[in-house]
Amino acid sequence: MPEPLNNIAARAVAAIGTEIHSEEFRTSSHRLAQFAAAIGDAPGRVAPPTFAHIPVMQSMVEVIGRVTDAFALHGEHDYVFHAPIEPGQRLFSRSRLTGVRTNRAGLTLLITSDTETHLGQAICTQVSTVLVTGRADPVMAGGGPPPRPDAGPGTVQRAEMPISPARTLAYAEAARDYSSYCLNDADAAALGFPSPIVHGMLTLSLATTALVAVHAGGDSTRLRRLGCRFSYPLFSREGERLDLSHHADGMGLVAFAAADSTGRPVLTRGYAEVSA
Amino acid sequence: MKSPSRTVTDPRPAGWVTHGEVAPEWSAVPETSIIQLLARGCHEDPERPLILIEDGLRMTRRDFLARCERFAGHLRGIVKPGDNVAVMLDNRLEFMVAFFAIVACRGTLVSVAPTAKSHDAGHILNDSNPVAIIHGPDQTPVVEAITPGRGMTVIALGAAEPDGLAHLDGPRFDFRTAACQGGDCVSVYYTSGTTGAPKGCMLHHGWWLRVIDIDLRLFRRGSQDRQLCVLPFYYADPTLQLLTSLASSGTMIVMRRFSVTRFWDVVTKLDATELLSIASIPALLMTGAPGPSDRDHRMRLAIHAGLPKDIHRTLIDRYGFHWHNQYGSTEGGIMSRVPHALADELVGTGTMGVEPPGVTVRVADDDGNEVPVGEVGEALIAGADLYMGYLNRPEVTAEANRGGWYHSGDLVRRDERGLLYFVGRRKEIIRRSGENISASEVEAVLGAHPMITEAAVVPVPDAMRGEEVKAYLLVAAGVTMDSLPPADVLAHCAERLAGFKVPRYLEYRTEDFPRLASMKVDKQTLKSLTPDLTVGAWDREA
Repeated sequence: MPEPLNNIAARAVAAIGTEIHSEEFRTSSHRLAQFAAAIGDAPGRVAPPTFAHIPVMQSMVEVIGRVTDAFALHGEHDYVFHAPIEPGQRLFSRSRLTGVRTNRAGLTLLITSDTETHLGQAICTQVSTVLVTGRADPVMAGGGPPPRPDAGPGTVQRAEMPISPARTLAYAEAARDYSSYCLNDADAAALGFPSPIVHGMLTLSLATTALVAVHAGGDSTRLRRLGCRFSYPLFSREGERLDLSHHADGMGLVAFAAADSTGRPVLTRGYAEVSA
Repeated sequence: MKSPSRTVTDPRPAGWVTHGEVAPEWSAVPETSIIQLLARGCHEDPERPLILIEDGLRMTRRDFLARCERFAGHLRGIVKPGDNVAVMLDNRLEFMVAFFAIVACRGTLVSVAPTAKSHDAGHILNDSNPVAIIHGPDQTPVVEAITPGRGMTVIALGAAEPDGLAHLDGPRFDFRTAACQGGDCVSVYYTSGTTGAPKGCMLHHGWWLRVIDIDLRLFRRGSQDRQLCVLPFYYADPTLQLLTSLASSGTMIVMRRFSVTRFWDVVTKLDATELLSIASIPALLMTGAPGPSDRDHRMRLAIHAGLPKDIHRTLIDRYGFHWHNQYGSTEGGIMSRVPHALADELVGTGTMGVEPPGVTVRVADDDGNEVPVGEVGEALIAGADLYMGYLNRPEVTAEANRGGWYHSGDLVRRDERGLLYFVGRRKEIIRRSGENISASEVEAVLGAHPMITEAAVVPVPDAMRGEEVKAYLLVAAGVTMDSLPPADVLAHCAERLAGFKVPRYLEYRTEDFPRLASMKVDKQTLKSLTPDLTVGAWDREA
C-alpha cells in the first residue's frame, strides 16, 4: 500500500534545507574516458559536461531518500558550469532540498547541488527536480527551478542517435547508476513501463555531445549553462532512437528538443549557453 | 532489528584522542544476521555489481543472491543448524556463494586454506568434524587423501566459474525467511598460533555485524566507492569487504592474488577507491620508479595493519591518498585505527590510532594491571561481540579470556594522548643477554633502508647470550655486500635502535622470501633452509 502523497509532501516541506555531502570523488583519466565513451563522446582532456552529475548523485539520492523511498523520476536538470572537471581532481559535493511543489502530475522535489575541488575552486552548480507521481493537495514551498533562457530563432538542424539496452548498460557502468528499472524488464514492468527506460541523464548527455560538436566547435569548456526537461521516458530497446533537433540563435544560445522513434517528445525546453 | 539507541560511555581519560563524532551504534547495519543484511542489500539495489574480479567476472547483487539461494536450497538437505561445512577454495566467486548458503542454513563455514596439504587440512577436519567439504579442482588430491572414512559429503566444483556450484542448484531458499540467530556461529578460521596446533576461532553474526558497523561508521563510503580486495578469500577480511561494500552501495573488486605488476592496472581500470592492505604491500608499491600516472587513479584510502612508518609519508606523497594504520585480529575485530581527522598529523608516527567506540584496549602487565603511559604491555581487549571462543578448546579460550579480557599476545604501548603503538608479538621476542628485542621493530628499521626491500629478523641460539639477532635482507637484484656493505646496514640500525638490538648476523637475498598465504614471511621455512643459521651469514663478530 503506497504512502499517500500528501504525507510525503508534508515530510518534504519539513525537510527543506536538508543538506547532505557526497563522499569525496576523485577523478581519473580512465573514469572520464569511460564516461565519454558511454555517451558517444571522444575522450578528451576534460570530462564531458554532464559528467558533473556523477559526483553529486550520491548526495542527491540521499536527500531524496530522507523524504521518500517511493519511485521518483528525474524531471528537469539545469547545470551552471564554473570550471571543467579534469583528471586528478578531488571533488566535494553537497546537495540540498530547496523546493517542494505539487501539480497534477504529482509531487516535485527540487534539489540544488554544488561541487568544488578540495582547494575550494567552484566546479558546477546543478538544480534538478524529481517527480513522485500521484495525487496531492496543492503545495508550494521553497524555491523553484531557475528561469530558462529563451533562444531566438535560427536554422533548425537534426541528429539521430541510436538507443539500445547495451548503450543503457554502458551508461549505467560509467555513471554507477544501476537503477533497476533502466536495466531489468521485470523491474520496469513492476513500475508500469513496457520496457526498461533510458537514464534521463544519458539522453541529455547524448544530446550535449552533439550540441558541443556543432555549436561549440567540439570544445565543451565553452558551455556555460545547460538544461532541459525530461518530459517522457525513452525506452531502452533495440531499434529505439533519440531524434534531436536544435538551433543556435547567433547570440550564444542554443535551443534543443528530442523525441523518440514514434515522435513523442522526450527532452523539451532544452537550452545551452555557449561562450565565444 | 536492534535498538540503535544504545550508547557506550567512552571510558577513556580526558585528553586522549578519539575518533570524533561517530554515527550511533548499529546505524550502518541494523540487522541481526549477515543473511538479513545480504538479502536487504541485494533486493534494494539488484542491478548494481557486488563483485568484479580482475580478469572479467562481473556479478550483480541480484545474480549473486540467486546463486546463493539456489545452492542453499540444495544444502538444506545436508546441513542442519550447528553443522560445520569445510570450504577449501581459491579466490573465486563460488567461495562467497558457499559462504552465504552455508550460513543461511544456520551451518558454520570452516575455512581451509586452498593450499593446505593433508597434514594441516586433515587437522582441521579432525578438529571440526564437518558434514561436508566444498573444494575446487586444485584441491582434489588433498581432499581425496583426507576425506575417506569420515562419512562426509564431498562437493567438488563442477563447471567453470561462476557456475561451479550450479549443478547442485536446489529450489530457491528465500533468505528473507532464514531463521539465523545473532549467536549462530557463522565461520571458523584456524589461527596459526605459535604454540600447539592451529585453533579454530569461532565468529558469530554479532562479531561480523559489529566489525561491519564499526568499519562503516569510522569511514563513510558511497555509491561511487569500490573496495579492492587483494587478500585470500579464506580469511575473514574479503567477506567483510563484500558486506561493507554491499551495505554502502559499493562494489568489491577482487584480485585472484596480489601482484604488484598488475596492481595499478586493476586499480585504474576497475576504478578502485579503497584498499585493504597487508604485509609488505606498501614496500612493494614503492619498488618501481615514480611516474606521471602515479596519481591518475581514484584511490582515496588504504587501511593497513603495521605500516612501516618510514615510508608512510613517501607513499602518500607519491600516490596521493591516505594510509590509515589499523590494529585488528580475528578474535578482536577492529581494535584500533588512526582517526580519519587526525590522519595527516599522525603520518609517520607509526601509531595504530585508538580504539573505535565500544572497544577498549588495556595495555597490561603479566598480572593484567594497566601499565603506565609509555611502557610496553600486552594488549587486552574488551568489547561486545568479540569472538565466541576456540572450537573444542574451552580451556584455551578461558585462558585467553581470563579476567574478562581477550589476551591478544601483542605487545603495545600508549603515548600520553592515548595513541597505541605496536611493539611486537609476545612470541616473536628475541631474548638477548636479558634484553627483549622485538623482531618487528628491527624489521621496520631495516625495511626503511632505501636499498632493502624487506627484512625478516629471527633469533639464533647463542651459547653466550642465549639468543642473537639475525636479519635476512631482501635486496634488489644486483645489490651485493659491496654495494651495500654490512657496516652501512649496521650503522643504519645503530642510528635508530639501541645497540643491543642491532643484528649480529646478516644474510642477503635477492630471491623473495618464502611466504604464508597472508604474504607474511614464512620464518619457519626460511630458517629451515639452513640448519645452522650462522652458516653463510655475515657475522659482525667474526
